[in-house]
Amino acid sequence: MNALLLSIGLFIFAWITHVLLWQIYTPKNQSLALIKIFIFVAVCFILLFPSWLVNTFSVPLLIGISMFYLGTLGCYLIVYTAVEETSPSLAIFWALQKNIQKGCTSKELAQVITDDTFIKPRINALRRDGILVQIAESSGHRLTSKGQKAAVIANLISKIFNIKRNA
Amino acid sequence: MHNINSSFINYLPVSPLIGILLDVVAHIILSRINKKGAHVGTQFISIAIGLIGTISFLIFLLWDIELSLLNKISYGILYCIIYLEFAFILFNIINANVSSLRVRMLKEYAIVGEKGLPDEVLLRKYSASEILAVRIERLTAGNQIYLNDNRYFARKGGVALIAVFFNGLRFILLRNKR
Repeated sequence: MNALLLSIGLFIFAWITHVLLWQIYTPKNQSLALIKIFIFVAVCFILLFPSWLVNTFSVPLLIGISMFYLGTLGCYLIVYTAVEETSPSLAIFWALQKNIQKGCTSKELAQVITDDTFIKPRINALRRDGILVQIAESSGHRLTSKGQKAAVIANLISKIFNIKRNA
Repeated sequence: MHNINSSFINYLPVSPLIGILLDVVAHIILSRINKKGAHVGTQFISIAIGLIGTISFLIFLLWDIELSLLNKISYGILYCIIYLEFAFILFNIINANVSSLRVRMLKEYAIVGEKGLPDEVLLRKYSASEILAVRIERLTAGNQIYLNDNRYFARKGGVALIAVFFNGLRFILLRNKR
């Protein structure tokens, strides 16, 4: 029971730390900053209470607590991508919820989803993350070596899980 | 006998790993049986197979161990949650390959290679109007929105709750920034 409570408590503490930090400063690479915060909190906890941890929990349970914490972090990073960058479906929904009584026409929704709000920010994000690099004297981009590796992984996942089309 | 049973507790962290392995294998097989390939339905079945595997292994390990029922249940919950977390991550990795705009763009750039892709070409291929049309079609087909007198309206349900959740999270995290 203690292991479960500790795992949840540690995550909540790290999340509150992240919320408080975000009120002061929102980093450019938010996902990386999140990973650093959550690992920092876990390391601080281990350094502050090493004897309590060793005396209270067996090694398999400590592994379990670590797995829970890292798993929760992984899930939160996925959820956070929707905070960082709005998905088109959510943007449509927010627009419809704002106009819950009269609804929206296709033209009105077209003002919500534009190249400037959805396509260009994603190109910029890929460039910011070091996936894309601008071609000299051109408005185009190409993959960096990091981007090529990411593309190989994406294609490999598609092959392994037989993903035939992009819906 | 007691020592052997007690040592079973050492293998508890293996249970979510067995579950996720079953999930992956089930997904690989099911996506090849299903003519549509990777599909949300096959993903849910794979997750369920993995969960059954995890629970079965946990029951096998915890059955004879001398622990209170409360402790056995909390161990079970902890490792089931760990499995579900891993399954959620895998689910999203697969789905990102199916529908994420960023991953689709990544693949476009990989096809053209070193010569790169002009922004105009990419914007033509992934025009906002096309994305809007596809999403409206998908949300309508999924019964999340409906059309009445040429105007779209939101229904209460899955996506509506997700939208409220993310709106709340964005408010908490980014209220001073946006």
